[in-house]
Amino acid sequence: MSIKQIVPADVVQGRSLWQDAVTRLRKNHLAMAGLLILGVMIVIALLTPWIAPYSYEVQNLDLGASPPSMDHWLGTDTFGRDLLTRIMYGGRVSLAVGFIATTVALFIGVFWGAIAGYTGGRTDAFMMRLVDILYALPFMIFIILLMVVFGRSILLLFLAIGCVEWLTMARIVRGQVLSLRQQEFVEAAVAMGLSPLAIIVRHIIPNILGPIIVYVTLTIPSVMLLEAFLSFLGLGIQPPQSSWGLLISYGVETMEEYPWLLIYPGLVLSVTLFSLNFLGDGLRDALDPKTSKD
Amino acid sequence: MSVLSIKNLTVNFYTRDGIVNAVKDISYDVNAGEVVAIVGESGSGKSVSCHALLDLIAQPPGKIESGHAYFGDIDLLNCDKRQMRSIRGNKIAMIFQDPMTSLNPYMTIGSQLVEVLTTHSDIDKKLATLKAANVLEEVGISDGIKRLEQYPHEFSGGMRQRVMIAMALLTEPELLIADEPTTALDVTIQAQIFELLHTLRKKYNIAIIFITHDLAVVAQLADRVLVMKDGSIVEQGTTEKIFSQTEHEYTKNLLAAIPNSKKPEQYRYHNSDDSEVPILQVSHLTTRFADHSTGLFQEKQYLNAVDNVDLYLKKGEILGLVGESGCGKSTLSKTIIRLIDSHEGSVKFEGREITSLDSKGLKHLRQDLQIIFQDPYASLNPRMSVYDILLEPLKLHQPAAKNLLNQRIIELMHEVGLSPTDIRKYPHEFSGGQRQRIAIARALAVAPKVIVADEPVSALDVTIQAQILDLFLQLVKRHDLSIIFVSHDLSVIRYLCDRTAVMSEGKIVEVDQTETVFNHPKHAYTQKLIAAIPSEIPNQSLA
Repeated sequence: MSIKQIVPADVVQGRSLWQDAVTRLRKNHLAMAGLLILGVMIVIALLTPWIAPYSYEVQNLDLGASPPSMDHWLGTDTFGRDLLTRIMYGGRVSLAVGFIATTVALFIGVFWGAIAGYTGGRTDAFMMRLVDILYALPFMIFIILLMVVFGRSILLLFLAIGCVEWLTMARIVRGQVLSLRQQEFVEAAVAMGLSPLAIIVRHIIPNILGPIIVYVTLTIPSVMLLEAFLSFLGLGIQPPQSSWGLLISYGVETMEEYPWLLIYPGLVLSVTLFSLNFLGDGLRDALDPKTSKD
Repeated sequence: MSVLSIKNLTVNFYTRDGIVNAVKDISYDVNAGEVVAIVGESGSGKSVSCHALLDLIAQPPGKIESGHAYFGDIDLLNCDKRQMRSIRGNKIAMIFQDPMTSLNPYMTIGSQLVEVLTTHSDIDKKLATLKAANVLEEVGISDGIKRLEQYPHEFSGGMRQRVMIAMALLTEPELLIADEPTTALDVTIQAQIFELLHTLRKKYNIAIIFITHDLAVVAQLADRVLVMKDGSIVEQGTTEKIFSQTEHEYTKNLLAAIPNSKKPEQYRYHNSDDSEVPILQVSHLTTRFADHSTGLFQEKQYLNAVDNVDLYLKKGEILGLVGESGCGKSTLSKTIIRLIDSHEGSVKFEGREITSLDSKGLKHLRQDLQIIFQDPYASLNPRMSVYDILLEPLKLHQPAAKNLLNQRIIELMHEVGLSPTDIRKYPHEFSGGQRQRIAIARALAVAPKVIVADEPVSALDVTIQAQILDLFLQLVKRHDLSIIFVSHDLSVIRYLCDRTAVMSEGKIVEVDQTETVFNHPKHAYTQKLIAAIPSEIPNQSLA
């Protein structure tokens, strides 16, 4: 397979890091399985309004909490609502909050941290003091304020969470950049005449992808749980709507009588997080040319 | 009587790319009071063969396949962990290459020394402290008791290596293994450390295994030499015999690669026309760093890293810049190409002042002034393929159609002696010498007029170093380049450079034709530096 690498001298083509990463990721079966599971979950979440077996809000108090059966595969909750349907609808909220809030955190955090770390001096001090101030601000007050000013909406909730989570990302990235910019290849890029932005995008960020990806795979679950916490306080989404976090927290309350109300949502969340971790590990390895030879 | 007797030692490493035979069936003896040098290039197995003795190689991936190493009547390769611990650091001591990292920065020198003693014997702590202080004085650190209270960062590199030697001597070992102990040190410090090892050996009759890649060092210190290549001992004998009746082809190559002559005539700079305007003119250049140890309200103190320097560089000339670590030669070279801003003075490139250029002017300047760094492992972005590394400067400064750029990249690869088929590989897939070639190709990509080379060969093996030096000579000739060549290695400077500037504490103390500097040094510092060069190799016929 690898013998075919001899290229005719006139048709040399460079590989970009990303093309290589895709090739390498494809060879990682665990990561591909994770990607597949996440993909299926996202497709189901998108199609839920059309494929869900029951309505998520119509209660059937006669039925009450019933264990899994042929009619209700995963059973029903205390109001007689189909659990499978509620998990599917919950997935829409949880996946969206996980990915949107983390993406927001990722972009702000990476650029903020990279610019602060690379520029250094006063800019760095100013940008990081701002981060410190935001850290110190009680995050609940911040979110309640946002809700009061802009009204309650799910999208705002996503943004609010993202705006809180980027702080840690910025700190991690800045720390990495501080040590990276001492490296000679960054100095060589300066000596070459590259602009600071080009150096950050082409030379610095690709070299800190490892820690970034690890942090992202940690952030997504914590964001999902944060949403459950906010919803529990009445700041997030409200019943009869659902999210995985909410389902789990209700499940915990009724764990002794109706264990399936905890087991199934918990299982779905765990599978999602496992898939994310496998994908994250796979991406980290795929983006590092040193980890594999082909 | 032999202290150590190694028989048929074989070490393999099981990596994902297959089995690597790091050490292949080697046998040798070390006698009491003898200095045995193991010479070889990186990857020759010289370090692995010694680390294996003390069970210091990671297993897996490493595995000692076979062999015996008798230290007295104990077989080091087949003894249990407890026995090993009682020998390690006690009967056999080791000194490592980098004194900056081999001491624990959070412990005082004293507690680190005492720890060695208390680990290996039931000695009283007070007595141990006294003994530690004694040994410190022994290795030339005066005021031992007081120095014990200090932390490693309060010692210079040479001093730390002395501390390491003191630590090794504490337990009165029978065998000392020194793994490139002076490679990270300046030449004058290196000479002092050799002196010290000499005295100590005579005094205590310690056997020393000295691992090095530097033949000049061997000539000065060793009684016997083992030459290793690819895991095998290719030649061994007394030092005299190795140098005077070299048998193996590889040893001959090693000896020939030592730059101990002048560069060939056709590469020398010839231009007696003094009226020619230098391509680079540095005058009264000063670069300062703020001293952070001053308080908030005190007036800021500055440290002149580069202090009122005057230099010029003619077209097609190689100017050597030599000095010890911390003398400001790297700062000077980075100031010249404006990676660091100067404080005072001027740098003129082709008559144009460049210290005041704005970012746009600077971008143009980058085309003409390029830099090559010391460490080819750190100076290439590990996440970019060679193609991308070379494409980047081309795209930035000479945008053209893609096939033209590709053409140019292939030319560059040819020019620095790399195969264009390797273009898709990443830096870690190349050896150190090849990486330095990539770094040179990157600097050449924009067709610069001046290249500042900051210790470009110090991280390379001697045979690779010779190849890279020749590459420099050819490129200078072909492209009419001018080079400022920074190095602490005097023999490299002597071989390569037309003129040499000697730097000390931020100042240029002497600058003249290279041969004049070496044969008739005027300044006291230059004289000291040249006296410290390891003595010439006994046999000159190879030169």
